[in-house]
Parts: sequence; structure tokens; C-alpha cells
Amino acid sequence: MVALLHAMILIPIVAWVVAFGYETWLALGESKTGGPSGISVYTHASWEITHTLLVYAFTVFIISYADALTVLDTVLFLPLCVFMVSIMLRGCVLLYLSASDNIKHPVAWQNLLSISYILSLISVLTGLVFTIISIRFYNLTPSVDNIAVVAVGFVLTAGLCSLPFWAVYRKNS
Amino acid sequence: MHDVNYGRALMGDSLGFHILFVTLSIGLPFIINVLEYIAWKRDSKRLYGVIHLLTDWMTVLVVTGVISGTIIAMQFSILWGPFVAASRPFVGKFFMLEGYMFMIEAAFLAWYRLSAGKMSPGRHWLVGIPITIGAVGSAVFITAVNAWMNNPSATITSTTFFEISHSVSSYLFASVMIVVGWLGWRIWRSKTTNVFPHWLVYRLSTLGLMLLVALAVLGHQSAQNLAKTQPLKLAGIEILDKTQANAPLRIGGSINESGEADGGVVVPGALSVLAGNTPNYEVTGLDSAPKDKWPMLIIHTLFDVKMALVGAVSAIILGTIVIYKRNKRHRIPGWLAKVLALSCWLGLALIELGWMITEFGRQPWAIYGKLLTKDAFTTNNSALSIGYAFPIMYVALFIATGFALVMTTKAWRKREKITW
Repeated sequence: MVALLHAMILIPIVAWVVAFGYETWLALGESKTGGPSGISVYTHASWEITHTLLVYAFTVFIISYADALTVLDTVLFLPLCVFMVSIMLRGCVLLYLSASDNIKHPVAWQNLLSISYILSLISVLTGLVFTIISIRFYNLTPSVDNIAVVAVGFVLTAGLCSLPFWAVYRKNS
Repeated sequence: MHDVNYGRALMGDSLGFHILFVTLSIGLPFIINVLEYIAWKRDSKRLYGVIHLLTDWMTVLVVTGVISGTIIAMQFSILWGPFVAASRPFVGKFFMLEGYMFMIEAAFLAWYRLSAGKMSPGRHWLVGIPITIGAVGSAVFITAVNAWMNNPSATITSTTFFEISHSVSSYLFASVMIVVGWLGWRIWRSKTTNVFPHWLVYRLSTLGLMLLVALAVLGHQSAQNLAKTQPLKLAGIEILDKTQANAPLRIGGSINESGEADGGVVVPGALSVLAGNTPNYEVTGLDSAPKDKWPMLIIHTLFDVKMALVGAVSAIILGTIVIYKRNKRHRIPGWLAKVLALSCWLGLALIELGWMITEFGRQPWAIYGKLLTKDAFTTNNSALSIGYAFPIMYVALFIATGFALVMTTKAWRKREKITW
């Protein structure tokens, strides 16, 4: 059961790292041109889906390890704060870039956007490593009493969410 | 100030901002579904035009809502670890189910946006429905957690039903007020005689009135439920000093140093009638608990302000419908358009006030009767060291969101060649 729970947390994180890594690569490409083009136009719309994978994994994690949060919030404090700053920065920059039709320094803004992507990626990976080490070091055990909700919901939601993913990328890739 | 109060202030700031974004990202999909159905059935290009704008707004607000929601989740784990541990066995699954709803909303939003004009109107309308289900569903599950905090006698109680139905209806209503206010502003600024925006104000005001009636019924039922499940909160809201039958309703006034209600306008017996449908109903007063377990009594003032605003929005919405129907040319007069534009924030203010009453009214408890707020706070002292940064960042996000909304609206006017 614990292994299944860990899989339910790690699979969305790995999926997020892959998708977000790809989006970071696209953002770095935009830094050279000063604006999105090709498939990256669509990833801006799908980014929020990618992001929900992380939110899901994080929620399952904090609920399952709720009894160990006093230990874990000390370990995760810095990576989480950096992540929060990075997504706030990304949100502000993306809103500005997507809404403005006359940007004075497009390359600089795109660079700022790329920095926010890289910070997000680094903070999540650092947090993940810190968490795994802490779980091993302190021998922390999760609660698995919500595993049925997690597993059934994960399968149903993944199936349902794959529909729009398929529709979006089939037409635009 | 004690650390726990810093933590509460930080959480309160974050939630205060978050609820503004979330209200609209719940209400707008609902309004879009309703309008798109009418547009589809009437084949109305003008209505589709407005839907395009609302979809742009919805996207901006979902982006912002995702960011502020993630920050709330992380602040929860950093600041309120003992609370998460205490609540997990009972409502942990609600947090997870909220995550599923969130995924559905975001996934279908992407599909909805990118399939506009590429599929039949009926199918496109259907793709929009899960956005509302996801948005409302996530509100349902997270509000169920709050309802459990207010009434932890079981995972799902009467409080769950009343809190969810009342809050979700208020999000929909506040979103209607914003859209009506924006239309009022456009009518006021352009002085247009184009019948379409006037008709849309009327239609949305009718929807707003239906929601207001639902809110009034649910609000009354919630108050009766409060009398049974959280009697001290009701006593604080109404500053009822003594447990009594024929309990008075007090507008204004305060509790003096000796713990007695003083001043204000008093309607004898009205609170008993409201809480139990009869003057003989005994309403629990503040004297039923020691002073250190009283709720924060500012909720009385907040509730009075809330009721005054409810009266104002009811008059505005009802007045708009009556004036439009009585006007032979079916137009909204300029002065009314101005009133609508200037009062568009009232729905959001009601939500903020409602949540403040709910949260301040439960103090000193995080989980009513089970876990004190001071015990729900983290023991990690470093948790607040970065806290000051968040209100500043929320202001930046608020400005960026406002800027994006204004710019997308300007771009839409140009693209759709809107003259009003």
C-alpha cells in the first residue's frame, strides 16, 4: 500500500518534470525570438494542466504525511518558498506578456519568464530530493487510509484529462 | 504580536486575495455556459462576441487562481502542519478530490479555448460544461473542509450542505454583478443606443435576482442551522448576551465591559423567530461560555455591514429589472448604468465579509470544540521569516491580473469591432 501511495505521488511529479522541462526548453527558445511561436503558443494554455499534476501530487503528499509535517516543513521550507516566488513571478510576467500588444523589451521579459521556469524546476527537484532523504533518514511512514480515493480518482481523472490533451496536441503539434 | 497571529494574518491576506480570483473563475464558466446555450439556440453572433471576452477573462483568472491556490496549499503545509495532521483522518479525501476537480477544470479550459470555432456550437458548449463542474466541484470540496472545521460532529453534516450551497451561490452572484457592472460601465461610457448591451444587462440581472432569492432562502436556513450547530457564533453575530426565549435582534450596539449587550436598535423577539420560527424558541447567548471561548465580536459589525450591502444589491438588481421592463424602448438609463458600474464590487465585498464572519466567528478554535487555533500552528519558528513577502507579491499579482484584464478587453474590442 505504501509503495502504491508513493507511486501515486511520484508518477504525477515525474510527468510534471517531463512536461515542465519541455515547456522550460520552449521558454528558453522564446527568449531568443522575444515571443512564442509554433507549439509553444499552445503550451501556454496547457501549462495550467501540467501544473495541476504537481498540485495533485503535493496534496496527496501533505495529506498522507500530515503527521510528519512538523519535520518535513522544516526541510521543505526553503524549496517551497522559492517555488512560491517563482510561480508568482511567472504568473505576473505571463499575464503581462500575453495581454500586452506593445512590449518594449520582449527579449528581457522572455528571459525573466525563463528564469521563473528554471527556478520552479530547480526548487521542485530540490524539494523532492530533500523529502526522499528525510523520509529515509527519519523513517517516516505515511497514512494510507485515503488510498482508495487517491487510486480511483487518479485513474478516472487521468482518463478524463487525457481527452482534452489528446484533442489539443493532435490538432496543433 | 504572537507568532500564531502573524500566521493568521498571513493566511487571511492570502485567502482574501485568493477568494477574489477564485470567485470569478467559478462564476464566469457558469455565466459562459448559460450565455453560450442562449447564443447557440438563437445563433447570436453578438452574444458569442461577449462569450469570447468572458473566456479571455476566465483564462486570465484561472491562471491567477492556480498560482494563488498553490501558494495557499503550500502556506497551509508550512504554517498549519498540526491542523493538517488533525484533519487528515476526517477530511483528507476532500483535499484530494479538490485536486481532481482542479485538473478537470484546467484540462477542459485548454480544450475549450483551443477548440473555439473548430467544432459545432453544440459540441463546444458541451466542452464548456466540465469547466463549470471542475470549478464548482473544487469549491464544493474545499468548502466541505471548512464546514467540517465549523461543525466537526461528522465528516458531512447539515453545515456542509448549507455552507456549500450558500457560498457557491454567492460566487455565482458576485460574478454576475461584475459582468453587469462592466456592461453598465460600457453603456455609461459609450451612451450607446444599441439594444444588445441593455438586453444583456436585463438578462443577467434576472439571473442575479434568481440567485439572490436562492441566497436569501439559504442564508435564512444557514442561520437556523447555526443556532443548532454553532450557537456561540450566532450569539456573537447578534451580540446576544444571555440565553433566552423571545431573544431580541440587535442592529448596531456592542457588548459593554460587564458583558451585557448595549445600544443599537433592538427588535424584541425577532431573533427567536428567525432562529426557530417562534418567539418561544430559546437562543443560546454568550453567557453559555467563558469569555476566553467567545468568538471575535467584530463579527457583529461585519454582519450588520453585510446585511446593509445585501439590501443595497437587492434594490439595485430589482430596480434594474423593473426600470428596463417599464422603459418603452427597453433601455437602461444613463444614471442606472452608472450605479451598476459603481456597485459591481458589492458581490465580492459580500463574499469577503461572509468569510470573515465565518472565520472570526469560529475563533479561538481552528476546529470547533476540538483544536484551538494556537495549537494548530506550526512549531517551526522560521516559517514566518519570509511571510512579509507574500502580501507584496499578492499586490503585484493583483496589479498584473488587472492589467491583463484591461488589455484583453481592449484587444477584444478591437478584434470584434465593438462600438459600445
